Amino acid sequence: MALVERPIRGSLRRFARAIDVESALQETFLRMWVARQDRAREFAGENASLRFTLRVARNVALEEVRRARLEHLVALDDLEAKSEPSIDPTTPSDPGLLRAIKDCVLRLQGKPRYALFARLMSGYEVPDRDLAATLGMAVNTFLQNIVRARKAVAVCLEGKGL
Amino acid sequence: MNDELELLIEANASAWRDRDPSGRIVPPPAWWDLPPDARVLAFDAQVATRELERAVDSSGFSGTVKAVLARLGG
Repeated sequence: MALVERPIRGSLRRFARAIDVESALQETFLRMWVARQDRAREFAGENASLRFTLRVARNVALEEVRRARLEHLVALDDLEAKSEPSIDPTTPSDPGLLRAIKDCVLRLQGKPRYALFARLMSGYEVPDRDLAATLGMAVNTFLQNIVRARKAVAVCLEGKGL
Repeated sequence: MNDELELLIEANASAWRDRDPSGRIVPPPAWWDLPPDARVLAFDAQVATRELERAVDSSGFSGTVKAVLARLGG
């Protein structure tokens, strides 16, 4: 899952005006996990697993676009003309960049640091409103602190020439 | 970008997602308040947030991966 996340997310960018890609991606991985339990299914050939997941992701995204009746926001004719989703070029995570990001995150101070760390550590299982309450912040204050933290990390990375 | 839009975008950057009564994963309520062009900015904020999560996670997992693993485990 971790290995294919970036290319799959990148392939869903074209749907971003119509659907929440994060929701579609999580649904894709859950369906992929179910498919993996089917021992009769074989993933043979180059990038077979990635290609299968790309097809699942596209189908999930199309379902969501149609459910929301937002077809006018996505070029569906272009998508349906292709039987096989293409693998968009995705730059792999750069270990040096990840180290630099971690260094910059660790340099944060005060409330922006608390808010961003809470989001990064627990945000996958705890909604922002609960994280904010734990920190004694209003939700908007929590979000403002994350925005400030994100900007400080960006400035730090620029200082490292990244 | 104005402050209100910036906060709306940030409200969509988390990997936490609720489910509806049928079990379908649903967008955060703030997602529906975003105009279409701003939804692309929300997508970019999600990408950036996942990179931050990978950078600080000892296994290099993003919030998306951890959210799905938590659902499978739960």
